[in-house]
Amino acid sequence: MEVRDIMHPEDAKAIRALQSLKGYNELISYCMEHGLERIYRGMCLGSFVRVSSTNYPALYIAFKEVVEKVGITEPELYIYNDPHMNAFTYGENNTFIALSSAIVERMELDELRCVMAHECGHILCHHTLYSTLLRTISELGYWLDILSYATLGPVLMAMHYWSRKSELSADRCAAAVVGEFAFQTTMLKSTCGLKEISGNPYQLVEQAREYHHFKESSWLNRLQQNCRIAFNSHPQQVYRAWEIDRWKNSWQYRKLYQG
Amino acid sequence: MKEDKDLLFLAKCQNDDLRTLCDILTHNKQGELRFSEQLSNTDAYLNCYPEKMNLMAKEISEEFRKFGSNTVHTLYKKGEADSYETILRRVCKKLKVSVAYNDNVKMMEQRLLTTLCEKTTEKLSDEELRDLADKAGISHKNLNRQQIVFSLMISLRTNRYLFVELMTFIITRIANMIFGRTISMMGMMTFERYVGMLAGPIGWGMLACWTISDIASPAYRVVIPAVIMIAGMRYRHVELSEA
Repeated sequence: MEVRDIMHPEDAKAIRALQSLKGYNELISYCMEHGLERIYRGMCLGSFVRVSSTNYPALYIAFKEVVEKVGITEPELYIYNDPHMNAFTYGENNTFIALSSAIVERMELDELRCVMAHECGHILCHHTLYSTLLRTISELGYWLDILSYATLGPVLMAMHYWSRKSELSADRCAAAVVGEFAFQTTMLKSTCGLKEISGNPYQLVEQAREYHHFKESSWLNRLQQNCRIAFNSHPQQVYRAWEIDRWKNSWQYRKLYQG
Repeated sequence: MKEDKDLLFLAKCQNDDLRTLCDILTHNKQGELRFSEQLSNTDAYLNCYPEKMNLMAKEISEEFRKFGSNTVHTLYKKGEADSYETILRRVCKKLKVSVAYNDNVKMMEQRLLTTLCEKTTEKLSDEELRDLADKAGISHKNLNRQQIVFSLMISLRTNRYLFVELMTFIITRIANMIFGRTISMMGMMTFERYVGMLAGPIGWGMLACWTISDIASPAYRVVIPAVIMIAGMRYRHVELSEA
């Protein structure tokens, strides 16, 4: 899988802008390798359960299939105890993916493939490298307290905008691996948090149209809704579903999923 | 945005040509997305690129007009960008192509393409000039350099085959330079007698005309190749219709 086939245009543009900062990639990569990556690896080994050929083998086989399809070096896979359905990844040189216990319990295997492919998409696009900057700025703002939003606000807002777009690239990766239908059901499950879903699997896409109509109906709605999500790191679920519904018609999706 | 009557023909152009025009608008020379482009995230792009380009001709022409217009001015006019004619006139002025105030789009395009071919001819070495004259069927034994250049310029205006070939070459060079792609010549008459020559130093001489895009402003770096591409596409479209 090629990065350019799955990367959302806005994500690609933002990453290009970040790449123009000379030496940034090398510096962050070095800091990650000798800092956060080691800390997180210690956290994973110390507090999470490693998935392997002998430990949750079905999940591990599915994971290996996903990794092979995406075409990245196999990250380590862990499960951690959390009642919230969630997953995350970290690392540029030594990568890992962690799934919450709730997501493993409530999702079908194909849906878990989708979640893992999403995280693999982040690794493929080197998102962790750039999200480290977002994290640094956020924490810098937190430490400096009053300087937080006054001085770093616009940068933080721009980085959050990129973060939301980067999720769309990772979503494309997931859809390319498991197909857009499985992606939609996964989104539906992760939105409602239930084990079983019933009814229309494209419910979120329909809601997205309704939301769009609502948002665009007045300038006040537009302003309120944009302010509401300005500092969100992830796009709204309906927007993600809608984006993949659009992308399924593209030649990249046809090439990657249907061959 | 209202449809531009001068760009309606795009819907009837060859898929590869439209794809190249679209790529000029969306990607830079390194193949990266342009920061200011808005086309690649549209439904039309997702649905039509790269095989059904005719179906997104309207979106391509709108994107081109946005690039060719002043953003603030466009906003002031409630999103209505400048017409193709206005942009073409601006490009001609930028490239120092003399056009009259009452010239229509086709005339301006013809002058633009002819000027590009002429500028290239002037930059050729003696040997290349005589080679080109041979292939254009001009007897040059008793002519000096200026006379050969003059004869070739006359020939460019009268020898349709020579003009079409040079013009097609320019378009192909745009695609090749920017995207490393060769435009297919399907449906066109092939002018093989000039092809070998164009691949050599004359071809590189052609590129000299393109250095202008490097010194131009960022917007002109998009608009100039796009205008030449459109002018060439119209010429080919007319040629095909007549063939």
